[in-house]
Amino acid sequence: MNLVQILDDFRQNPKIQSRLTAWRVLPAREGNYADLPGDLDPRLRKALTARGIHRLYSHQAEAYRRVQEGEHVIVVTPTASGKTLCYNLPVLQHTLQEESCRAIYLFPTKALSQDQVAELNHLIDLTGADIKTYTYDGDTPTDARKAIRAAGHIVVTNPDMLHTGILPHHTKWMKLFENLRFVVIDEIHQYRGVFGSHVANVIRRLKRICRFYGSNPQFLACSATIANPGELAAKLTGEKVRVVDNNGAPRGEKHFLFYNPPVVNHRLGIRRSCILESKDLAAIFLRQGIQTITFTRSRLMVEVLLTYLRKAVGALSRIPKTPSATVIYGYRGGYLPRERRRIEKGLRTGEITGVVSTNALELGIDIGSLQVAVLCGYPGTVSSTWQQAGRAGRRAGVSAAILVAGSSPLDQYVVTHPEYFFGGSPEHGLVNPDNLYILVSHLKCAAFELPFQEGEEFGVDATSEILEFLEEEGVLHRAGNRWYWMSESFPAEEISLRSASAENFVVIDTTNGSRVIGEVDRPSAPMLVHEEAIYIHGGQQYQVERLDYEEKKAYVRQVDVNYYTDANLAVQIAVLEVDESQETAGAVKNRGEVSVTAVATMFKKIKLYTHETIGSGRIHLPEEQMHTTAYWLTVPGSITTNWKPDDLQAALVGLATLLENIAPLYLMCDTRDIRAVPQVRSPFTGLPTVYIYDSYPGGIGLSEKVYSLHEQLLSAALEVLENCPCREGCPSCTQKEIEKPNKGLTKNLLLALCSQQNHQPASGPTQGNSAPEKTWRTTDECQG
Amino acid sequence: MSVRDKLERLYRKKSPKEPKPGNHQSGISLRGHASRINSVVPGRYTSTPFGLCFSTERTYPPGYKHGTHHLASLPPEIGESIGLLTAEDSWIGIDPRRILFFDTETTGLTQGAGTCVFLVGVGFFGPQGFTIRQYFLEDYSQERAFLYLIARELGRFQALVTFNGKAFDLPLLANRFILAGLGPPPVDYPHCDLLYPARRLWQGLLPSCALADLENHILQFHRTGDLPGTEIPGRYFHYLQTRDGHLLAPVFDHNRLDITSLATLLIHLHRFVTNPMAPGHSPAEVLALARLLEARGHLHQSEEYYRAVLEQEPGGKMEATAMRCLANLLKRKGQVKKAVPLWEELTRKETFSLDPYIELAKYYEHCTRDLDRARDMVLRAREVLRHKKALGFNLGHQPAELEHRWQRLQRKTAKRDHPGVISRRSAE
Repeated sequence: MNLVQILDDFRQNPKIQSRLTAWRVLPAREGNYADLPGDLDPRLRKALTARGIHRLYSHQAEAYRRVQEGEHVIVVTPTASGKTLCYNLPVLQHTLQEESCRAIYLFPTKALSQDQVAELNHLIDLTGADIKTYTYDGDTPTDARKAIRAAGHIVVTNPDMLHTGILPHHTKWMKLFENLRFVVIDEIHQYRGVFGSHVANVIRRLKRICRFYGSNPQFLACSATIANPGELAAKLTGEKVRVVDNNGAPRGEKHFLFYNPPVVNHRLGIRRSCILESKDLAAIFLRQGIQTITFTRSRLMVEVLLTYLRKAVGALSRIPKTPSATVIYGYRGGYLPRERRRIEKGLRTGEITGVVSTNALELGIDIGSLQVAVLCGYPGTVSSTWQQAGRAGRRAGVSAAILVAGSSPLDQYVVTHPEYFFGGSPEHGLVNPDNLYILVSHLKCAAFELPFQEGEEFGVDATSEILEFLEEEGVLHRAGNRWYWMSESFPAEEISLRSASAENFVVIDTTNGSRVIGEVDRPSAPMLVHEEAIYIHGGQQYQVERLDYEEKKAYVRQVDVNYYTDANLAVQIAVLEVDESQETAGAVKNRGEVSVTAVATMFKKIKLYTHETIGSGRIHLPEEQMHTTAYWLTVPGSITTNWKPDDLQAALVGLATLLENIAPLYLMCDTRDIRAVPQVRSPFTGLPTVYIYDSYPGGIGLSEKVYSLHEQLLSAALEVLENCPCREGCPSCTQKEIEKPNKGLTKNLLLALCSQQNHQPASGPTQGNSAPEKTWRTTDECQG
Repeated sequence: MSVRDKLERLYRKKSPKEPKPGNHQSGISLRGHASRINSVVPGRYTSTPFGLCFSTERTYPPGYKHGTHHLASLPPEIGESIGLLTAEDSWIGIDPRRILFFDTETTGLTQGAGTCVFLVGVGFFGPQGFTIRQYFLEDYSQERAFLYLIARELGRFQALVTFNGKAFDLPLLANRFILAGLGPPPVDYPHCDLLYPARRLWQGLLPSCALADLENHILQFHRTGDLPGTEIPGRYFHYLQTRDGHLLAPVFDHNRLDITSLATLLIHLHRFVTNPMAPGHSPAEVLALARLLEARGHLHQSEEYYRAVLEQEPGGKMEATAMRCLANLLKRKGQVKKAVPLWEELTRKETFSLDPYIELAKYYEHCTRDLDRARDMVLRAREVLRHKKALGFNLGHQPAELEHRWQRLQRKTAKRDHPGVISRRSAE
């Protein structure tokens, strides 16, 4: 059976039909074209013609024109709409006309950059000009680096390498910085939250170095669809940026299905596991040899699902010498680069039929055109969902994407409100480049790179105040009217752009000798590689035998057991300062600074397939403390006077669970970026309180946004509760794990909190009222 | 909350400690008692277009002895010796008085724009003896004056000698020049980094090839009370805050000793290169020199030294290596016949090297066409491999290569013995 036949089969299958909450067909669409620009260098024109490009899509033409007019540009169009040409064209045009012209290309991941270089080089070869493109990242051999620094016209790298490998050594890159004309930032929507706030500061440093060498580059960015691309680009680059979004690319027919697993326990409202459902769906396609990518939300789930799928399809775990059987691979961070390149190639050549991946493959890595994407769980944001779905059917032809909802409120909200998803992108990319913690880190790096001049501003007015503070701390030294770096250390190495801490834990397999098999970032380490944890890599289970917390090494040994482990994090919270506080209808909302103490306390052993808890153990690891920003909601005494303490506790847990799961919908953040903590009697307020804090030192503006969304959040929470088919509370609404029934209690509490409000059920987080079922055309325009 | 309060909270809350030395108050109070650098280190201020810069100078009279060597002068043919060691012809004919010895002290070991050079020591030979001049960066704000004088000094010479200067001192200095807007430092002449020949000659023979180990074991110079290099950046930072010159006097001493050792090391190398057979040099050192010379293309000299090692210590530790090197050299010179007795001698010794068997197998196969003897050699090599394997050696590609050779010899033998039969391989 081919894909069209399978889809027909789905249509006739009442069981499947009953589980589908949406089936949209995005019809094939004609392109919208423009002529090649008149001023285009003949060599470039020739190269494009050789590639079969005789005209441009309308957005490509506009991007080119805007760049030529000297504007900073951000192009916002869907996957596979020829975004790359939007920046390659002006960059090559300028380099052809002016040999000294230099450009930096920033990609969020290494893998992505390798791919883009291959494509770029192909185009350059066709021009016949000697334009040198180099990838400069952690994998670049030392002896090649010198040549790249001197001769590369286009240096392709990632923000991390710019941060530690290029900017601190700018004197060796004099030629690049003196002539830097363009900075290309691809997948700019990836730079949000903590990561984006860091990157904004790296760009501040980049611009500072450019000023020193007398250059003033233009920024060219690309983004997936988000609500505020222009604002995000402006915050990241510190420049006014022109948004180009008149997508002119054609598209093949695409089916987008929303699938909600059936309820298997009505009393508890438990649905069948989204992993098992995804396995079954993916297997349908894989058995027919249809290339299918399955996305999961965590590294752990990649491994679990990979194991299931291989078994279900009878697939091989290695590419055989003679291609015959189905081959399925896993793909995620923590795999070594060579392994990843092999998998990408296997997907392109068709040697690999299936891949189970985290969002690592969401970005534009070239893995050819897969036919089907199965999304195991809502990826967390609308734009991520479109990107993952876009991995199927990049070129012409029919393709399908199936979103299989998990049991979290976020998943359930989206799957039962398809109009929220298809109605456009309400998500905002939030960054806070002025987060003090992040800002100060980069101020140090900047001071290492160039002394600070008195009166110089680094993003904020208070620059000199911070410099004086660092001077007192003995980190900077003031001489004359300048501040100089005064430490032996190399500050960039101490700061990781991707997480709170620079240090990863390495995982060492000691089954045969000792071999590094992967890495785990520090915040996840207590949860993933505590002693006795089952760490899964490449489908193989390993048990952690020893965790050397000081040295950041986890020693593991291969095992074969029928369970995996899941760890609990215990959190304490203390208010340091109230920034704002306001009485609302039924509650008091507050925001301010808090101190959070977290410690991993215990883990559970969860049986494969049945997912029942079959054992547990204690975790002995030191606690970690953090200062951050938080929002908290206090319940006035008038509401709770008649409540039994047990009931109140259960209701608060329910409310915290709901809020923690729904808030990311509004914030376009990862569910791990915020945490909610309930307290029956907060030591600070003396009242029942629910905290939501930014899971990053100093905060990145998320809880601030929650404060302003207080009413909408409560309404949405109430609505999720009312729509949930369970009776007593379930993991889709009020419970993290099944404990005391709390659905009714939570609802009562919520009703009380919203009581004075003119309560209306909210439907879309940012559109205050329920949007009518959108016509198909609208969806088309939003997502092309 | 003000920015100030937030900073306090983010960075100081955890460990409320007493003010660091960097704190204003302590800085000021110490400053009163501090002795400026020029009251601790005798020197002077030189004015430049960019302000003043402190420097100090000391000349060691010709009788001065550093370890076992006198620091009197460099011999006229020093350039030839360096040329031999570095394979750079530009050294030949260099005026010894135009050679500058150069070493820096820095605020850290990382390369990068934030690491600063704060002390530069230079040494050179003149009529009065060996002179060391040290330029000191009293504060970051005087960097251009400091670099100006260093550039002037560099401009007066025609060649540079450093220890690890190629990877460390010079790139850092280049950073400083660029950051100060002065363009690259004026070093457009030969630069010999003695670390490289030192490694070639003494790696494996000494605990390390760090300057301290070369001093102790080669130059017979033993430092007493020297400041460990790791403490140097901290001393300078502390000085910046207190202006107490006493902190830095040991840094000046340390730098001066480095320069003195650098010059002495060059003298030592010259003596060794020009007369390796003089007493005091071990056969292992002579062997290392012979290999270095061979690598540089001085085949005649290296042959002489290989033979000297063999004569000097028949049956000694170095004999087998010297023999193997000599045999390879002879082969390289096209005198393979002369190498044969050496390989044969090596096969009689109990070494684990396969080389002599393989070389002899090649010789018998290709030169004398004696297939039986060639096969015999491969069989003996197999025996050695078996032995090595039993002892747990990692054999790498050796067994496969040997097997390949064996198969070819078998085919050739078969063809010789049965000329009528066409082997499958040649039929293809």
